[in-house]
Order: sequence, then C-alpha cells, then structure tokens
Amino acid sequence: MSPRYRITHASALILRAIAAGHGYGFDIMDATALPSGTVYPALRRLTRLGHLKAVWEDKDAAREAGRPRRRQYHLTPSGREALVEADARLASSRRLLEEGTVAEA
Amino acid sequence: MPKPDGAAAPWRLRLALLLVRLAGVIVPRADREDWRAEWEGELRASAAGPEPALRRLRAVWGVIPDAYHLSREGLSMGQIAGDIRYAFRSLRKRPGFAAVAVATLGIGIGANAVLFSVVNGVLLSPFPYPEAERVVRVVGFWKERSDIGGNVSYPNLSDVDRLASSFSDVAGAQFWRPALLLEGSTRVLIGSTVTGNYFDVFGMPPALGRLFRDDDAGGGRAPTVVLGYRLWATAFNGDSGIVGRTITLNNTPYTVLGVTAEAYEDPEFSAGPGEHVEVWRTVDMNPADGFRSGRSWVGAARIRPGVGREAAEQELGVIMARLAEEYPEENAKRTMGLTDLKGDVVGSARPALLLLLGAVGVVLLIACANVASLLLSRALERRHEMAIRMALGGRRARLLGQLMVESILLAALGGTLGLAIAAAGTSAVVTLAGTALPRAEHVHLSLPVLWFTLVVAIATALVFGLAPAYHAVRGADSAAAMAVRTSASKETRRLHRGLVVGEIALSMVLLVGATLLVTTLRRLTTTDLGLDRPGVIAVGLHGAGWWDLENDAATVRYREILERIDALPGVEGAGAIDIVPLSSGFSCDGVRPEDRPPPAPGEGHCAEVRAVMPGATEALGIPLRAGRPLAFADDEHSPRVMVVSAGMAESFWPGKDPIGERASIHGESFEVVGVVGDISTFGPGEAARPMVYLAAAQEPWNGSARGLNLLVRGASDVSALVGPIREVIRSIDPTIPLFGIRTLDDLLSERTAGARFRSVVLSGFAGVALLLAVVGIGGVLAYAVRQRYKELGIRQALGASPGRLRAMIVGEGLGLVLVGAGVGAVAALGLSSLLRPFLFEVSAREPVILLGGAVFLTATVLLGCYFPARRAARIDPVAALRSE
Repeated sequence: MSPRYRITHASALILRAIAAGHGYGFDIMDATALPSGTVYPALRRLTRLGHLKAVWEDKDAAREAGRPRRRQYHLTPSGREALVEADARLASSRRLLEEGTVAEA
Repeated sequence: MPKPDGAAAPWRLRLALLLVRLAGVIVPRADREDWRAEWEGELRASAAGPEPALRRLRAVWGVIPDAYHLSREGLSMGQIAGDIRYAFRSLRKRPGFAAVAVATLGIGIGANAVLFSVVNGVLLSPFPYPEAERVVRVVGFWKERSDIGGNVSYPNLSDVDRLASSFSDVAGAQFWRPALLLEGSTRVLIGSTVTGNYFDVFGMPPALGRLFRDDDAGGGRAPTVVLGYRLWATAFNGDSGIVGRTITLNNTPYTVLGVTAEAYEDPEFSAGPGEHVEVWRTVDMNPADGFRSGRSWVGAARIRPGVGREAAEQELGVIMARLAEEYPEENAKRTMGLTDLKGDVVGSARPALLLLLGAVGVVLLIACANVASLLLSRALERRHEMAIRMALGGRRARLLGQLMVESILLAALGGTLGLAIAAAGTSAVVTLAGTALPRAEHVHLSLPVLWFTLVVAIATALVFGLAPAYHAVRGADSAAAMAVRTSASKETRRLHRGLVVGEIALSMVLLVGATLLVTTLRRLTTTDLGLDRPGVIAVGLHGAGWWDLENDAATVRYREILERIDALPGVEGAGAIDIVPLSSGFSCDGVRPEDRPPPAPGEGHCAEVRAVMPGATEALGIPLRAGRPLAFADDEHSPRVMVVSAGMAESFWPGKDPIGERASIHGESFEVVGVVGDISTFGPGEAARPMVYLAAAQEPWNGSARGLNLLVRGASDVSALVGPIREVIRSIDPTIPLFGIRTLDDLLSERTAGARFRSVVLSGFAGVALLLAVVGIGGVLAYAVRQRYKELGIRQALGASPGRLRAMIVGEGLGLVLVGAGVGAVAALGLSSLLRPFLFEVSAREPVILLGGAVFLTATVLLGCYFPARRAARIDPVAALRSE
C-alpha cells in the first residue's frame, strides 16, 4: 500500500520548480512541462493554502525590459513544509520509474 | 493597466490579450485587475522573447480554466461537477432551445471544420520532402512580362545546373504519356521524362531499388524507369521482384530501377488537373542536342543550406545574363526566377479557398449571433431566478461562471455534432471539387482539424455566451428584478435586435456573393466559344511511338480510320487534331508573316498551332469564313498550306485579304488558303488566341506520327458512338491504346470545375445563413410576443382583429429585415472587390443581383415571422389579462 499524500503530483512538481528558482508562471510551465491550464489553477490553490506568496516584481526593472510587471511566486514557511511532502511524493514516482527501467533492462 | 504597444504588438499577442480581457469578466472583481496584469505580464514577456517563445503564447488558453477556477473559488471538484450537472439539467428542461442551439452551433462549427480540413490539406500541410522549404520551382519568363512564369528549355536548365553554386541540384521534367503493355492489354500512363538528378531535388529514398542518378540520363543510355508506388502496388500487385525486370512502354523495353516511397508526392509538373504521375524515365539526349529556344521543360531546384532564396535568385539572373550573351537568338529576352513550389502546385485554388474560408467564418458568426440571441431571451427569463439566488447570497461572478458553463456545454455538444458533420462533409466536398482541388489526397479529418474544431468551439462559447450571461446577472441584484419576471431593458432589447439585424446583413452578403458566383457559372457554361460544342466526342489515339511509322504512313492510317468512322451510322463528321480545344494543352509557336522583315531576337508572334486531319474544324463546328478548308490532298508532296483564325488574319494582315499571304513556322513557309472563326481554345473567360491549323501530313513536328485525337460529331447521342468507334479502330489495329475519351461538354465541365466548386459551396453557405436568419428572427419575434403578451391581449379585448395583430408582429419583423438587408447590401458592395477575380461577364455591383438578393432575402426571412405572428393573433385576451 503506497502512502497517501495530501498534495497532487502537479502541485508537487510546481513547488519543486519554485524552490529551484522558477518564480514566474510561464517559467514554471516550462520547467514542469505542465500546461497553463494546470499550472495556474494549482498556483491559485497553493496560494490560498498559504504555501505560496505572490509578489509583483520591481516596476523599474520591468520598465527597463519594456514590458509590464510580472508576478513572481515564492515559497512561504508553510510552503517549505509542504515541499517535504512534495519531495516524498516525487521520490515515489522516481522509484516507479527506476523499477520500470530495471524491468525493461 | 499597461497599454498595448499598438502596431508593434503582433496579431497573435493581440488575440491572446483579447482572450485575457474576455475571460477576466468572470474573475471576481476584487482579483480581476491583478489577475489580468499577471497574464499580460507573462504574455508580453513571452512575445518580447525570441521566436520560439511565441509558442508560449499558446499557453493563453490556460486563462479559461484559471478564470473559471477563480470564479468559483473554494469550490471542490465535486461542486464543479455539480455545475456541469446543473447545466445539463437546465438544458434538458428546455429541449427545444437546446436542440436549436446545438444544431445551429453544429452546423456553424461543422462547416468550418470541413473547410479548414480542406485548407489544411491543400494549403497548409507541407510536402513530405526533407527540408521542403528549400525546394523551389525554376521558371523562365520574358524579361518585359515577368507576370508570365513558365517553362524552360533543357539546354538552359542544364547550363544553370552546371554553373550555379546556390543549388545542390537543378532538375527538370517533361510531359510523357507512355502506353504500358502488360499481359496482352495496353494502358496509357501518366509519365514524366526527367533529368538524372530529378529525385535528388526532393531527397526521398525509394521504397524499392534505387532512383535515377546523373549517369542514367543522356544519349545512348539503356532505357530505365522508376515506378510510382501506386502503379507498382496496383498494376504490378506490389511485386517485390520488380527491380531489374523489363517492362514495355511504347513498344520499347525499359528496365525498372526502383519504386518511389509511398509518401513521395510528385509536384505533378507534367500531369493535368487531378492526374498523378505514375512513371518516370530519364531524358535520352544530351543537353547539347536540345532545342534551346524550346520551352517544354518544367524546372525545380533544391537551394543549398545556408543560401538565401534571394541570393539564389540573384545568381540565377547573373547566369541567365551570361547565357543571353552566349545565345542571343534564344535568350536575349528571356530570364529565369524562382517561385514557391507549393504556390505552383496549389495555384489558383489558394485565393478561392481563402475566400470560402472567410465565407464560412461568416456562417459561424451568424450561428453565434443566433445562439447569443436565443441565450439572451432565455437569460431574461431567468433574471428572476438569478435575482433570488443573489438575494440568497450567490456571488455575481459565480452565477456568471455557471452561465458560462452552460455556454461551454452547448459549444461542446455543438462541436461534437460539428465533427460528425465534418466527417461526412469533408469527403463530400472533395468529391464535389473534383479536379478543382489539387493535393486533395491530403484532405481528411486530421489532428490539426480536431484542434481547430476545439479552439473554434471554445472561442464560439466565449463569443456567444458572455454578453447574454452578463445581461442575465446585471441588475439582478435589484429588488425590482425579483418582482418583475420578464421585462427587458431597452439596452438588452437593442442588443437582441442588433444581433438579428447583423445576422440578416451577413446573410445578405453571402447571398449576393453566391448569386454572383452562380451567375458566373451560368455565363461560363453558356458563353459562345466559337465552336458548336454539343455532340462532339474526342478519342485519344496513342500514336506516339506505338505505330513506329513515318509521318506519311501514319497519315494514311489515320485517314483510313477517319473514313470508316465517317461511314458509321449516326456520325455527322469526323476529323483529328493534336490538342483538343478546352483540354489543358497549348503550343505557343513562333509564327512570322513573310511580308515584313524578320523580328529582333526574342520578339515576334506566338500562335496556337494545331496539326489536324481534314474534317476537324467542320467536326468542331468552327465556321469557314473565307477560302477553303484543309483537304487530304494537302499531303507531304503538295505545297505547304494553312488555315488561320479570323483574329489571327486581322492581326497579321490588317485590312488585307489574308488568302494567299504567307507566314513561316519553324523555318518552313506556309500559304493561307482559308480563314475560320475564332475559338476560345483555353475555355470560357480566356481570350481567343490566334490559331493556325496545319495539315498533320505537312506539320513540321510530324503531327500524325506523334498521335492525334479523333474528333467525331454525332447526330444524336454521341456517347453511343464510343462502342462502334472502338470497333473500327480495333479492326485496323487491335492493340493501339485509346485514352482520354471525353465529349467537349465533359471538357468544358472540367474547365469550369473551379467555378462550379466555388458557386456550389458558397451557395450552400448562403443557404445555411438564410436558414439561420429565419430561425433567428423567429426567435426574436417569439420573444417579443411573449414580452407583449399582456399588451396584445388588451388590444384584442379592445377589438383589434387577429389580422391587425399579425400585421403588427410581421411589421416589426419587416423593419428588422429591411434594415438588415440594407446594411448587408452596403457591406456586399464594399466587399465586392474580393469577388472580382472569380467573376465572368457579371459586374460585382450588378444592381439587379443586389435588388433581387434583397427581395429574396426579405421574402424568405419573413417566413420566420409566421409562427410568432400566428401566436400573436391567437392570444386569448382573458388568459392574457389574468397573467401577472
């Protein structure tokens, strides 16, 4: 019986991506290869749960780059706790993949 | 809010930003500003990046689930499923509404999916060659008339291949029609004579054996062929031992080198519309022996990696300038350029398909307007429900979201129906198009088509769903809304009517367009071509290489066949010609009147020269204007003579009697003995060209030996003559293959296939648009009757006759129709220039068509007023007064 997690696989990937420094929505999409229709609703949910905090980037930096400001997501302390559970979930997937490789080999 | 950068923003970004604005409507107001700013920030950052980042713009579709989730913040999946169930239930409660809405959307989406699958297959799907974008067509043209791109000569093409460094290969293909002798029966194939490097240009490995190499081509080589996959699979039953075997084409043994890949798509340079090349052989002469001023080759080339197309074209120009110095006689006025391979293959189908794509978009807009108008009526009926739900604490954004779920559900059902329509419609459209559609084998329901349908369905739901949903919840929080069940605000009523007027106007545009195209088709098929078309059948006799006879011996054999056919009962006349009028062949040979000094190199007249057997112009019904027709006495040994068309006589010898004048053709001198009427040999809509008819026995290119088409005029049913004609030919030569048995009517219908396709498809769209407009106005008026239920009841109680009540409702409908038709007529005038290239002998602004369209539209759409008017006349005044 595999352990039950309270966190979805997509959310786990997203938390990992943010922890790795991918803070903007589209960068998270690129890093996780998840579609925007999955990433954004998950970002909203994780923010509501208090795991993430959204911060607008500096106005002047955006103006210099010639575009509107972007919103960046950071892990909150509770997000860091959730990350532990997320890693456990991802580790179980990794084990599964490795099993598959062994079986095929 | 950041402002868009105006013109600098590419259209994709603008569309994406528009979608964000639209979807933002359902996001709770408190979050909306930030939400939009976040999406805009990401999209603009992506758009500012390098090209691949543009792909990230596709992520904009995520705004829909994102906005939807926010609109029902705090809801679980179970509750969302509840929303969907609720939407299903509320649609089931009004099955009539749901059925009309889904059918309308299904037709609109389905028609779009059908047309998109055609556009995708014909225009968008790439050629299967590796790096297909580097394969181009090489065209030759007159320097002063760069608009006419065309064929090139073998020596020029081969020099360019040798000298140019921009191309890895420059190859050519030429028309070839070999007859295949297989197990005692013969069959004429569509073939192509090519240079040795032809297949290197396309770069696709064979399915079997090998393709040509440079040393397979040239004089003195053993004859070899490559078979097309389809021919190999059918005629040779996919025999894998075919490589190395010998097959007989035109009485000559050819060794099979290989079979092309199944996916290989030939650009069909030497095939007619709807034909596919089945077999290739290499050219059997050296470039030095070629005819430099001849132009019977089609060129193709592969540009080397790292070389731009402009640079390649420049080099081509430089080389041609050099060849012009070396060979001024042939090349002084000629040069070469590059054109897009796909543009060449797709040709005239592109503008027509884009036009129809626009038209089908209009049909979808009408469908959206229709459903929006239905939803609006329904939304107003539900204001009471919305008001109660808001009074009980429902949030506006939630209610909006819920209504949008209903719209998306409708669009999903409509999209499903649309796919079913597309599945059935796509093959029907391909069949209908016939030869008018190149690359038709690529047209099918594919993944891109499914994606397109999905996107269209979602976009449709947003377009038709948002405004009605907004109107449903707006003002629903007022106490008044709870008290009054069904009163619409002025603004809502205006929106409602505006939708119907817009729908009628768009229908008018399509109707006028369809009428113009149908009129064009009628004029194309009835215009005078200068020949008496009905009752003539053409039968191709595969002479070339088959009989292996000298020209005079071949002439004798043709004469024998013609005389016996002439004696058949029911035959009124028979002759033969090398290129049948209305078929796709042309010649454009240099003809020089001898009473003037010879023209400068590259100048001079080009005429359509035809080799005929006596009786041909008579069989075609071309009237003799002066002198005598060609006769059997005009043979090899008698003086060279010709019959010319009236237009040719007028332009060559203006104001003179042309009989007795002389002109030289390919170095030989011919005397005019007769003048016949002009004909439009290239079909209706093409200008009549100067025509020259030579006796096949005297033609410099050995007309008889090359093979001619018999022309037979029948007294009544000409197709009944095919059997007896076959018998006659068999009795003279039992093996000679016949091909291209077609009446002139068949040929005309092939020539007008494009016009027929366009007019039938656009008429279909106009018909659907009209039907939707009828349903649309019916819906609006039915709603108006419901709104004015009480008022109508009072009027009746006060003595208004049923006829008067009917007239009131019809009058209201008439007002809408007239405004719509007027707006539509103005729009049709504005858009008329788009149709101009497709019209023939009809003005895009013909008043009769505009007026007729308006009258027909009004009469048809007024039918939609019938049921609401009847209902108004039958209101029971007592029941009406008792209602709230």
